[in-house]
Amino acid sequence: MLRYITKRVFSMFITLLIIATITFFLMKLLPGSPFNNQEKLTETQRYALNEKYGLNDPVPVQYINYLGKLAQGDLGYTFQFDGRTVNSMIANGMGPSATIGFEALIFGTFIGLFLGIIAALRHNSFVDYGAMIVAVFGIAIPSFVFAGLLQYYVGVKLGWLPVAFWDGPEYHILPAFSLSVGVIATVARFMRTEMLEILGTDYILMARSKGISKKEVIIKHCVRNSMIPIITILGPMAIGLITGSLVIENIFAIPGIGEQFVKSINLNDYPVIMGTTIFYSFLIVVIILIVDILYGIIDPRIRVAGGK
Amino acid sequence: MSMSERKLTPDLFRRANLDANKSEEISKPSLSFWQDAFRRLRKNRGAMIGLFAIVFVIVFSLIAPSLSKYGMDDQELMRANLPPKIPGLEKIGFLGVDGVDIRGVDQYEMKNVAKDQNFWFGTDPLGRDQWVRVWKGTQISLYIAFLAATIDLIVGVAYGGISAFYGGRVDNAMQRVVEVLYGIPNLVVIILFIIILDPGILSITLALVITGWIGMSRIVRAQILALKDREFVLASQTLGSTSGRLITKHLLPNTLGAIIVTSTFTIPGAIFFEAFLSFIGLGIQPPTASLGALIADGFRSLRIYPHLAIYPASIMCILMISFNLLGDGLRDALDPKMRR
Amino acid sequence: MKKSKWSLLLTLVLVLSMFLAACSGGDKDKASDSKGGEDEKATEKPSEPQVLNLLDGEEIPSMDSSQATDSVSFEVMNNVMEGLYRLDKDNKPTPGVAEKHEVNEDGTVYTFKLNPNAKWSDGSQVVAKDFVYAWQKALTPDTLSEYAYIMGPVKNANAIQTDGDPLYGKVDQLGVKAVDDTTLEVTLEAPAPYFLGLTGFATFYPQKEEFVKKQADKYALESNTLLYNGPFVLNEWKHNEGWQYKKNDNYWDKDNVMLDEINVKIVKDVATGVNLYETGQTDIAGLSMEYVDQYKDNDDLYTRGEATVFFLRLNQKSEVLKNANIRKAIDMAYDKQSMVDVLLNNGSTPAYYLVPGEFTPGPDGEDYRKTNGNFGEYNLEKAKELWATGLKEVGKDSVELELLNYDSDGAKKMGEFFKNQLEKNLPGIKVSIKAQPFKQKLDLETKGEYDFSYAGWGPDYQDPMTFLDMFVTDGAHNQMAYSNPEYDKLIEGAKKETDEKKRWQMMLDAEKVLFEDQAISPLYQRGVTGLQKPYVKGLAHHLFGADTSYKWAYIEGKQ
Repeated sequence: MLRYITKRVFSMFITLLIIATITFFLMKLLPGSPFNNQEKLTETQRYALNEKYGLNDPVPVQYINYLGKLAQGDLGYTFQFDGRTVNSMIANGMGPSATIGFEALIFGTFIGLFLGIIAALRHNSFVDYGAMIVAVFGIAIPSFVFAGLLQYYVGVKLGWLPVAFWDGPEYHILPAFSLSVGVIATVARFMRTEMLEILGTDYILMARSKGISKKEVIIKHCVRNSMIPIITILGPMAIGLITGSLVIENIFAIPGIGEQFVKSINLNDYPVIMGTTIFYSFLIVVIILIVDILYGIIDPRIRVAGGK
Repeated sequence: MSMSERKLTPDLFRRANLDANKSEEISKPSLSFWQDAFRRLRKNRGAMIGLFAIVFVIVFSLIAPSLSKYGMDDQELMRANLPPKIPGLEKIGFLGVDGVDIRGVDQYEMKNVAKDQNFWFGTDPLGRDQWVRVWKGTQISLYIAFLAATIDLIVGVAYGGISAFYGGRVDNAMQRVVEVLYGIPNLVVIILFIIILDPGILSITLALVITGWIGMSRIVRAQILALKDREFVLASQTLGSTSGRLITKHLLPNTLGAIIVTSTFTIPGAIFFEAFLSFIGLGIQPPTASLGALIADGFRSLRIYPHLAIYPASIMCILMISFNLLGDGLRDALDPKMRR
Repeated sequence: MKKSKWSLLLTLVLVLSMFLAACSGGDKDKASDSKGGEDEKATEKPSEPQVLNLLDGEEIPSMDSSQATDSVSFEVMNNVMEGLYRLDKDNKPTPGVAEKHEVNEDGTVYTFKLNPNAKWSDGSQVVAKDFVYAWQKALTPDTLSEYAYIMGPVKNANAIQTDGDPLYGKVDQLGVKAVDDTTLEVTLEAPAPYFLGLTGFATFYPQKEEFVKKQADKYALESNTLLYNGPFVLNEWKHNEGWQYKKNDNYWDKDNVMLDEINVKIVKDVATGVNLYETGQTDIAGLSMEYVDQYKDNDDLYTRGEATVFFLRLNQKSEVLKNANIRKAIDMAYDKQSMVDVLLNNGSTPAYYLVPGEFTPGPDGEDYRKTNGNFGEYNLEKAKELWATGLKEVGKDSVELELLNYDSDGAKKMGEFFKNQLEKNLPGIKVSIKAQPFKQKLDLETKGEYDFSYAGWGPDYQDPMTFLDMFVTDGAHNQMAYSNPEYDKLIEGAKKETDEKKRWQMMLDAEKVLFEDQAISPLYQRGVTGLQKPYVKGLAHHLFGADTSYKWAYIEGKQ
């Protein structure tokens, strides 16, 4: 197991290096430079600014410098705000983004599991159809439409929850819920299919015929075994939430990373674009790694050997 | 009532005439895998409704724009923001297609629109016929989605297939590449890609494909890896089949189910993602519009001109639900495990 | 083994559910707390709380007066800092740090008498050398101040900024001198009637050298690494979330400052802003065109004219647009009035000029705009005629032009409108639209890689020159290869002229020349529209530099 993890961590760093490289060169392809645009900048100043941020160096030199700093965890200075580092921007935005992402994941998974399980147990009944309609609507409505409607009806019309901002726990509910809709839908559908499949297997029949109560069979065998594959989709879903929070952050005025990222693209703020991309990638590879390890622990059938 | 006793006599029995030849005959009509799958799909009401709705929307999106005399970009500021009006249905209050806006003003009267001019879905802020724009938008959304799904399919199947079929070092190398690509946040790649290429139908489609095929390739690879060790493949190999024959006759047909199912889910995914791109301003560039762009645009004036967002949103909803229903149905139909 | 796995998962679930429970529990506590707090406040302080709640679309990019370049920074600084003078409600200079000033005869030497009561927020006095330090800092090449050019009227400022000039970088040659602690002497290059108003501009604010040096590269990064001398101080600055102003107790004119607290939150989505306004969490919310119709009959709706003019740059690098008839035809071929009424719908007015209206009165007291009148009109027949002649002259019967556009939603609509109008009204034209993010767009403009572009210009100081000197030959902001020696001569002359009336006439003539050539096709003078609660009073809006001053604002009638 340890060897497997070391191997994975190693390949993780290779992945990150490649991503850093790709991002760096993509960045160089972007039209415009961060300073070509400041409307009132003189030629001399523009040159000096480029010099200050090392943008006059040949591209390979810039690349080496960038990797060197990256190795020390230094993502450089943003061009947008005076004297602020990309590290501090990510550190500032990380908290809120991660928090709603995590809350949405937990909330969505629980609701999704619940819907999926009852739908499967009451297969082809109204409960089943109802749960699945909820699930399908979750993937049929764009999140910005859903969030906007929620904000207006719950926040303004009913006045139950705050319209926007990032403050106490009550401020988390609407954004986390808007974000979790996709999760609910995915998990519910997945869980239902898995449950139905397992309910039809021979070992469930066997357990029942051995006289184990229905309740016990469902909890001990069905739910437990159906949940294993859910773990595999948790990884990609968590990634989707990190990036999906971008729209939600915008609508609910949450000071997260996603918004900063889109803005920095519009402003050619290379250090922030690269820094955020690498940070996101880092999160993703770590999540994938954790999911794979968890999967290995929970499902004995998938043992390290194959590692796929 | 008396119980009459009945005696069993030999003459009550007759010898069955068993034809030795007939025992080999199959009484049920023989069904190929696809016929069987289709039969099962037909029994799935949800999937059939979905299929019907998709076909309907596609056909309608092709026909509908020609029912209006206006083009996609025929502007006239004098008739901006008109609510929908459908002659004949005006009297039915709850449909809200009487040309009266949310404030209770008949905009057609107020803006002096000619009596014979009716906009079934209303008009947008530039006075363009929303009916034409919505259906043209549907065309474009579907076009992007199908294109993305097709390219996904080709690249994904080829990549996954090669990786699994040749195995060993090839597989290892190819999987490392996938691992790297998988680690890059796809949203980031897509945004960068679109900025570098200028937003347009093709660049959006390519951006969707650039990371989209990975899912497909993983599924194909897993399927082929599993099939490769099956006895029938071994048998075919021993009988001297070439790689080409193995792939086309044995491996691919058996993965086709999984491929089709994955594709049915790629399409709504692409439609959805395009809508998301429109929302952050990187979608299709005007004056062309996709469903997503229309929704993102109209959503801002939802409270005052609800017709701008509601129609495209409904069509999008119908499409998403239909593709998902169809996908579910296909999965049930094509999954041999479900075959009972 | 098996058990341990599941216990792991179970613990996880338990922890999470506790976390969720904590969330909802805390929720109730918080709600009741805040309500109690409010009630107490109300009973303690019967007079109205002087708290203003606002939204802003952006984080503050810079709080260093020599670095700031954008409207958000300018506005915040205008309220927490103060220059020699500041603009009042009517955009007239009113004393700031300076009590009064004297001008010498030819109008080139200003002697400012500083108010001895003007204090920094650490209690020390604002002295003349604080100004000298800040101004020199802005001009030091290492500072890379983008707005340093605005110091142009001050003696030697331009030379100090010009690489290769014998004075390059020699900031001690700048025409500013601290005679004593309360006397500042400023020498100008040539008389500039607008100079007094300019001293309220951020780049001209003082900085306390000792403090700046002590903070080094932390200066102005957080609310506590900055000294304030304005009506308010930044009490809290949560990056990307918002900031809070508190009344400055060390301010010399604090008796006239009524607000105790201003809370600003960053909200980027207009719909969110509107929703916050409806629930009373903000007192002012800006509106975009989509929302105006919705609030048309609402008493809270305001519209306000600005001095920013939008226009189409017609790039004369393009063979077609080099032809004056074609440029004229384009200008006449679209309906500016309905564009403003239907598309913008925000109090903007159609522009047939470059220098905005109600911006600068001349020496005779008459508005520049009124004296010069309008140029051009919407005239389809004439447009078609000119277009046909123009096409003949360039020897083509169809042309394809690229419109460079901003990528905002509003701008995209405008782009669609131009494309449609021009293609409908001018036979043989084909317009393609290229929408680019702001930076990329400016880059393409600088390089001249476009045919015509949707652009705007806002004033930096209250004088027509801030608009007019944009289009001199090879000017940094010309960007469309426009060149007319006559125009250049007029602008150059006006910059040197000491007689105010003659100077004014030159500027009037310059605009006429520009429109004889139809160098640009003006679109509209921007207006802004939004919602403002009726109890917010006394806001001062400005036409250049910072948008709003809160110094005189107060709350009345909220309860």
